[in-house]
Amino acid sequence: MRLETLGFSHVAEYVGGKADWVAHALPREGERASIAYASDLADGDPPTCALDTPLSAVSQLLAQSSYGYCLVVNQDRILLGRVRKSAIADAEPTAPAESVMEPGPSTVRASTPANELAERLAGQGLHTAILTTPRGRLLGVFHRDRLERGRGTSH
Amino acid sequence: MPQSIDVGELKQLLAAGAQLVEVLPEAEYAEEHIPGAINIPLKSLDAASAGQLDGSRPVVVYCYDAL
Repeated sequence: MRLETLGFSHVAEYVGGKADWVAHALPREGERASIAYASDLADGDPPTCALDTPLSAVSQLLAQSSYGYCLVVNQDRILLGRVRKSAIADAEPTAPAESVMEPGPSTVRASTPANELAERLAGQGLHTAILTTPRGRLLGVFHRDRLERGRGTSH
Repeated sequence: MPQSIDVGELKQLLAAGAQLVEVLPEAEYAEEHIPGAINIPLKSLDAASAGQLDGSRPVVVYCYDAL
């Protein structure tokens, strides 16, 4: 690093760079800073549970929420899977979430422009996208409808 | 070799007074950068441009992803 040859003794490199910063949904400055990213319109508190959470508890959680699924995370909030409401109906209430979990659901980077993501979801007939950091930590859930409501084009 | 750090370590260093330098070209810096960062494009990094940095404080450099 040239700074070290110029006499700077304490130089560090943020290896993830700007892409990683944005992917963590952190603030930014500049001409494009006002462009909405997926993370700007995400719900940061979707229903979550652990692998060993009883399905009866997951069911209660979903009954109090507008979501049709519960995200399974570990203690570091790393996304492990998803439990759909429809999968709980016929399952044993004492069974753990893991027993009906869909492992590794598709995720999207928080730095995806919101408009682009909304169009992609609409094309696939989907309404939400799960946002994670590059290391898989759950950041939230993007709702296509939120962007459309903001534009005044809600269906 | 500079120490490689992640976003958590970056936050800690910034809180401790580190200086942040984006080494991308000026246009890319103008579009978007990390709050508080100054711009010294890699191609113009020399003793003169580095003179705006405080040699007694840590310096963290970053690019778009990996340098």
